[in-house]
Amino acid sequence: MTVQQLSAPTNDARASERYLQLGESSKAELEAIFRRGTQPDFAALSGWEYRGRNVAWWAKRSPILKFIKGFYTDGQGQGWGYNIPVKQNGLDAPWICKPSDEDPKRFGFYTVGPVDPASRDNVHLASLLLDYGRGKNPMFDASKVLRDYLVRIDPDSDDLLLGKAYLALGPKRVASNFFLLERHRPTAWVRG
Amino acid sequence: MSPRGIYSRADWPQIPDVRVRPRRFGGELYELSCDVVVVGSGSGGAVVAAELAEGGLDVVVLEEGGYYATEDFNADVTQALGRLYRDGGAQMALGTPPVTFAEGRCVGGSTVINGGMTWRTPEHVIRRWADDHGVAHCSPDELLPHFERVEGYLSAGYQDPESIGRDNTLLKEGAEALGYDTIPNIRNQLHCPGSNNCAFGCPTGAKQSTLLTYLPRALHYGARILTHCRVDNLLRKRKQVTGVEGSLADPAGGKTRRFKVHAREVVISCGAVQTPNLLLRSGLRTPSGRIGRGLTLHPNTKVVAVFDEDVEGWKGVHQAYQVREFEEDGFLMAAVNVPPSIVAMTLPYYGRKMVELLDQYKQTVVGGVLIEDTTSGRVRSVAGLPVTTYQITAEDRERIVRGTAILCDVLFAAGAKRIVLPFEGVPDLYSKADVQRLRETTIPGSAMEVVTVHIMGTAAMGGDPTRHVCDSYGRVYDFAGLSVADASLFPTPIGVNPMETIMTLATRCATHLLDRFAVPAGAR
Repeated sequence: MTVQQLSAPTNDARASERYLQLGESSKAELEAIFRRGTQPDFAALSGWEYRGRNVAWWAKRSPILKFIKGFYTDGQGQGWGYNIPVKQNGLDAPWICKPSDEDPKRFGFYTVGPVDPASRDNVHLASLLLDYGRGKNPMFDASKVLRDYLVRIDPDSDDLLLGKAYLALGPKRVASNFFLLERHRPTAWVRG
Repeated sequence: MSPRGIYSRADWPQIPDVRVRPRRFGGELYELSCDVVVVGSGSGGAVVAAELAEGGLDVVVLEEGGYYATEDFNADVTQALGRLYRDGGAQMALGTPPVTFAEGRCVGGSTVINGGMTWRTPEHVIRRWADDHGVAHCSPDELLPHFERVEGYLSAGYQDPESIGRDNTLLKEGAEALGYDTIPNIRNQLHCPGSNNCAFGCPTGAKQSTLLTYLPRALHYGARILTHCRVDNLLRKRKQVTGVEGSLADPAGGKTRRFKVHAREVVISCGAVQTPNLLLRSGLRTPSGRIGRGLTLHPNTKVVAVFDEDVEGWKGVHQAYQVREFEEDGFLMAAVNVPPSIVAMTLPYYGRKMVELLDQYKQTVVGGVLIEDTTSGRVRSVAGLPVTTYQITAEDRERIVRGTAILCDVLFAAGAKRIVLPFEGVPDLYSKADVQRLRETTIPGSAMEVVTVHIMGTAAMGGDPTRHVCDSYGRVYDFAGLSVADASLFPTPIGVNPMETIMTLATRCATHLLDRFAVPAGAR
């Protein structure tokens, strides 16, 4: 399926049962899944938006329990991604973009690529690195300190992904929380 | 004089492309760059080096020991232990009982000093690796081409009948008299005359060690082999391994010099003790935290049986047969003649009794039992040196006693008159009735004399980074540019001599690396 063939965005899909169950996993269980995880194929992510949820004790009452992440490839072949705020209407309800599904706000941009083992951001080599520090975000955007690592949960599928967020505090990398992504809807959006 | 491509310490300044730089506090630093640096030249390293060199990669092999050719090998045991073995052949895994083990340290590694048994990995072991450890592309059918390739290079085959000594035929006769399954050994040899010097370097060139097979092939395709190079550390930038550094040991005891070899890929093939030691010494930590854990070693015991007839066990090949009747029970047996000086070290006698026994050396058969262990030990790195610990379980102790008793049955069936046991305080056996008493005797671990030459499993491969150190092809999890290719990779013991399994895994590792380096299949 190519981006050109896609219909207008729809938002009927709800989170799968497995997605919801994984969100109830303990930190240790998610850590084990993360360590076993394999690197996603970015080509299978690009042109898609994923519904996301943070998995952390603080997330349940936060305004960022639910979110959407999108992925695209620019003209030079560089992988990029962004975040979309969504309505916090409960995990069993659809993911509804803010301000609207048709014209969502996109923020928190990041580059997407394999992990460079020689770089400081090399926590998990068998993953994709979402580097907000290179995302051309506004100078004082708090998201610039984020470094997310993304792995497949199932070895042969890019439909369900586990992420682990780190904070880049100077030379230190501090683990923050896990998050889950599930394939949500196609998109043809590319940053202008 | 060394063949072209093998360089000793004195040759370093003349090695092609070497750079010599003064060190800040005196001395010189030698630096080399290549595609792949292989640490170790034994059954793992030599195979990887040859396969990669043939694939067109620039390969440097670093060997801690020296280069000795066929004409250097003779029956001088003392000389051979010093030249060809690490620590003179006297290493030990700490435990009760301690397990004495030996490793090669010379160009060709342990293939120069092993018995030359060339056995494929048993199928049940291959399936266990795939099913229980998630090793990818690991089935008897998928490994078959690799086995056949290795066997071809090693000229694996049966002994010529005239090379089989009386000690081995006695073992076979005894086993067959009891109805036990006995098979002829497949060995990496070409018309071996049976000089029985396998463990101290084959003086006839019949044993097809890597010294005569894979390493010449590696040299032919342009690899460089550097001797007396002790690798101290992996060079790396965070998780990207970029080479190795170490010192040039001077065999004459002179001043050591430093070297660095920069490479796109480092392959560690130092054996299951030195490999984890190097990884740990270099500060590597993998997600599983299991570097150095999972050590298995096929505990061996031996008995000395005295016959009335002149056996002359030194005439004939080191091992011609194996008793495989009890393979499913986890042990096998063989006749393993060793020189009188080695026998003397292990006999529980001194003074006149020792002299009387050694006087009967001509009439003795040394038999051994190999146990497929059910437990595992560990290699730690302490101040840069490996410390090996291994505690035999009660179950394995029982199997050692059971296996030894069966071996004694076999030897009595073959006509033995007296058998000296590897159990301190247990009297010699003179009849089958004594064997029955042995079975009923409780022997503490501290009274057992246990040895081995099969060290395995300290950087195990598998599909789960949280349980295994390396992936299915030997690449170390969570590090780039680093692979392991030796017996460290075994997720479990294999119950048979490990050389061919190591070589097969090394062949897979090399094939995988060639794919990663995008070497076209036609160029290999």
